[in-house]
Amino acid sequence: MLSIVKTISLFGTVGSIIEVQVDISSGIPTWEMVGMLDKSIQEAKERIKVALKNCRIKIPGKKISINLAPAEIKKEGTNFDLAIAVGVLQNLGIVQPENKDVLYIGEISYDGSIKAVNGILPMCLEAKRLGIKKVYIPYENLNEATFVKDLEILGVKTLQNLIEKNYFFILNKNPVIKEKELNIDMSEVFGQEKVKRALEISAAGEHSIILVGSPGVGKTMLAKRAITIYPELNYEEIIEVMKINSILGNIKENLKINRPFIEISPNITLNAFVGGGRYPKPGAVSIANLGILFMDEFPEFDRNKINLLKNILDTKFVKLDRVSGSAMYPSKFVLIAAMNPCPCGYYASNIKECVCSKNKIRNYLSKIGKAIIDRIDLQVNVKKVDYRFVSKNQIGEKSQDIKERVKQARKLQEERYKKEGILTNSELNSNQIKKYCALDKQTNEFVKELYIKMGLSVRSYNNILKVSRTIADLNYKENIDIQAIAEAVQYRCLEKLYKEGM
Amino acid sequence: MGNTIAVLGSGINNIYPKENLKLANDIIENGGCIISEYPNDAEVKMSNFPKRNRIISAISEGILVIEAKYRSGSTITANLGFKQGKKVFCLPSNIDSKLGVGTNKLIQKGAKLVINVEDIFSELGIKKLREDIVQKWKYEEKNVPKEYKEIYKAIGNSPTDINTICYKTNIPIQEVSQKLTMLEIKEYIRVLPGDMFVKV
Repeated sequence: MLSIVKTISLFGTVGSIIEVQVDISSGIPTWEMVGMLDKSIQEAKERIKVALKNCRIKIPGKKISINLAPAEIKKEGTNFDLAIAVGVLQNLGIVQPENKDVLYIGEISYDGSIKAVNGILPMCLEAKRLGIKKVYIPYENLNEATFVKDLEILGVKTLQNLIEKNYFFILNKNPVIKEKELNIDMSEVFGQEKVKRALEISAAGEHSIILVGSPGVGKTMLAKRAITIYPELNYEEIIEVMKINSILGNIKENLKINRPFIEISPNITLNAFVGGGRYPKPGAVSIANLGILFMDEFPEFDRNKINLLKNILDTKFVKLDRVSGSAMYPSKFVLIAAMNPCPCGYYASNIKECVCSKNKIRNYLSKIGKAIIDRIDLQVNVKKVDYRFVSKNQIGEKSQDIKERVKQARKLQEERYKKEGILTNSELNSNQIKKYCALDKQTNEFVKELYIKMGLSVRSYNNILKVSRTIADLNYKENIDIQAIAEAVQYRCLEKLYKEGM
Repeated sequence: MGNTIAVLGSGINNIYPKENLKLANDIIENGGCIISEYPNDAEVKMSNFPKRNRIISAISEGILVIEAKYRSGSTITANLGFKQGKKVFCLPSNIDSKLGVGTNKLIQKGAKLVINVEDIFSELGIKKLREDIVQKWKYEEKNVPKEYKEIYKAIGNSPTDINTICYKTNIPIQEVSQKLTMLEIKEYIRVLPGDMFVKV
């Protein structure tokens, strides 16, 4: 006799429905499983056998053959266990077959209990997309599945639950998500007005930013506090962030989720950086999706990673190609990079004298290619704070106040770009820049003068326009004016450093 | 006004380092000259550089060393100047400063400590400068437009960074940034490496 049960397999964030076909017929007592199965699924056989035995269910001495169709998709993970077990139970007449649009997801342990699996949230979302009406999932995963609307989700604790139809339901379909208390605030930073303003512009227009400064001036401290001035995540964004965390198994009982802030250092492996593995898992660039990716010691990252980063900044997603297909993970983040101005760290600093030769500085700067610099809109020097700022005990502006301005500027951008399918100024392409960053005659003349007098490179023209657009938004101005341009050109320190050093 | 003379340690067809080719051309275009004791196509040899310093000191009337590390090229030139009977001038430095070790040592040896331009004039026997040159050197507060005055004042006489200007004037940072750009393109101020602002 043949019985068919459905489950789902994830590759990247894309799911495909898998049919578990269980056939039990007379023959030599064996248990065969086919369908391009990874070791983790092959082992399911043993788990299910023992679990059924421990639930006092007798497996008949017959030939049991199981196929996971479509057989051409490579499958991995322990989430197929439950579907296979249910297939066997249906075949034995212990569980009654339901209609077609039902999925079973979960891992079975020897005592018959059902264990949590990774990736429940994207699985349920994909199931809904593929027209599934009802999903059985492990009880422990119920929490993260609350985010899926219009889908009947049932939690099961043990196989016995399933047989006795003793399910757990999601009680509250409108989850309340709390933001984790961050315990940091922009007002804790004394002085550094320029960097704070640059971070505000960066947050308002999602512009990438690089902080250049000597060791110990507070680059990391400032970068860490940048997250406190970003707007709170909305519902769609929370789901996006949860999806990636769900795949990695990072969602535990409490549903506290913040905008991601991911800090990486140059010795990160390539797999941890962009994602990897035979069945590709997301890397740091995708975990930072919708948040901040902070890259300290930027010039120390090797070429390979910088080149990948360049592509990711353009495309806003990662594509990991494997024999079994390609997985796509979103990676739309704001890059905050930090670097020293030279190998010793004290070039043109107000702390101590630089001991680097011109050649040494040139080698150091040439490690970061021009191509990546072009993609960083804001470049700002971080200086040592004068003791006077500290002694004056002047409290800086609170993150909450800056956040309000950022939100306001984001709102203006959202309305303006409704038809373009983008959200912020940093996403403007060159055609859109012509349309939305048009300058009046007077301003145009001013820009011309600026380029001649300040010796800016033509490549930076678009960056300056985009940043000016954001500054104008922060100032509630409808058009880019001279003031906005004049401020925007103050954030080109790396370009100047290149001109001096190369 | 004077002109620049560059003394090479290699043949004049081998400008070193290569990126200084433009500088060499600029010197000639502006009425200066480039001289070398070596044949035109002579290769670049490191040992030639300290040697050519004797020519630098020999063709000069006096040598002014602004900053010099311990045993730097400028100290070599100045020491050769001593031997040739030239006048050597030095700016004094803090004794902690690495860049002042050479100059302070030269002062110890008998170089003249220079505080202002008159110190050099008196030594070289110059009595009075032409009026137009004096005018050029005279430090004068430029008449900047009213709206920029406060920021211009806050810059002071030594290089100042933007946060300090912000602190001194209590003007919001965006306005300071913006006005500094204006002052820069109107050539009232200049930006030094590391975003330090100085009056022109």
